[in-house]
Amino acid sequence: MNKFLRLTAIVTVVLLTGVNYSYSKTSDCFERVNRAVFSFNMALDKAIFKPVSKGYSYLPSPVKASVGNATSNVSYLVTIPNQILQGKIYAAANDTGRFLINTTVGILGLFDPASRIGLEKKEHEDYGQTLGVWGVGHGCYVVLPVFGPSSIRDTVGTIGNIALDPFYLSTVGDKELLLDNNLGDRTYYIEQGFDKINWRAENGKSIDDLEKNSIDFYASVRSVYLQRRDNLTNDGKSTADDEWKEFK
Amino acid sequence: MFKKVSFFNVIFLISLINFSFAFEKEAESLVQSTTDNAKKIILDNSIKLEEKKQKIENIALDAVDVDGLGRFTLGSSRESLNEEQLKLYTKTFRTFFAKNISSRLQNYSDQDIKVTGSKKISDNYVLVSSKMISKKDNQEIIIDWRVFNVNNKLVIRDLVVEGLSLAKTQREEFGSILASKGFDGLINNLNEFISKN
Repeated sequence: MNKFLRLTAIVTVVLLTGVNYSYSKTSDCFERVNRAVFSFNMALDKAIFKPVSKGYSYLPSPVKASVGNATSNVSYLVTIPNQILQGKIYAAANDTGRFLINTTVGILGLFDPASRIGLEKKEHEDYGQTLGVWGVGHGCYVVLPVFGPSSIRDTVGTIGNIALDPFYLSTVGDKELLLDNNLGDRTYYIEQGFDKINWRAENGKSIDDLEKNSIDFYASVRSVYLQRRDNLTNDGKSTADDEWKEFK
Repeated sequence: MFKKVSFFNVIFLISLINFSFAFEKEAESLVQSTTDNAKKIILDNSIKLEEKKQKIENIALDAVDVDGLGRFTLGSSRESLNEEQLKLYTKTFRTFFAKNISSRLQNYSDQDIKVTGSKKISDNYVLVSSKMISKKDNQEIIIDWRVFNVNNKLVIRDLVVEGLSLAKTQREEFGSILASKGFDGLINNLNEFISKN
């Protein structure tokens, strides 16, 4: 409960102070520190995540598809409340159906029978996006150790994604609810590990391509991150002025 | 009299709609033919890699307004540059752009680009929508192309891949270098990229 109150306080402060900065106005207030953390993350990626994801990518496609299905299924526990908070009731009903069917008939989400009966996949939502939909701007761009690119708003969102996640609360958060101490922690961190490795493997080529074709990789990642987050928040509908209209 | 005016108004409107429709269709056809031609070259096993790179560079330089893209990428910094610096930048950017395009060749596998529609944004600007379909991964990626009429020639100025503008990303990148290393630093970084590729 204490945790929830703390989160509510942070969210309130951000809501009260967060003027609606669009992507173009998001400043890199801590660039020197961010670049240092970015270098650390890149070293970590090259030493651990990249080789592990490369090994993972050699697994048979059905195995990788099942890992992707299962981690995606767990993330509905964060997506569905956020769809409701954003007023996307149809999407919330659709994804609740997907979660129930895939968790039961799909054996803990390893398979995706929901798609076969017409419950289509929707974009995942998180607390950072919800704050964005509510009009909270990014604030400053930040790079978090291990977690990677973020912003003040999305960092608050990330805290919500963990602290308000029923999967986290029932594994790491509550020692007596479903699983005992060690099993609960392990279940959560293994799922998170698979989620990150699966994401890294799926996006490996794009990341390598961006790095190879950039003359300032840090700035490219910052731009891609902020554009992507705004695109997700606006559901692909650009709200920014099209600068090309005025371009001569 | 009324009938006469109405008739001419209708004819005028039809001619306007036809002109506008033709601009959109021409923009769609530019995107489809450019991507189809590039695909043909990439998949032609009788052409050596270096020759392929050269041909792809030529297609890109013909279809893209590289000088316009270069100016956009400089952002507001271009106002503070003198004529000589602008000339040097334009020349270096053209080579950088060509190398950048050809270095992405090896990423191509089995993707098909299908134009799905277009929207006129202004008198000289059309946004063409397309889907890149990968048979191997069974994935669809949405790509929008910003097509402009520049001096009576249709040219591409930007690609927006799943909401990410390539021109905007490059402008952020260049802006960051200009802020930390200045104009000479940017030219050095561009030349470094060119020599590596």
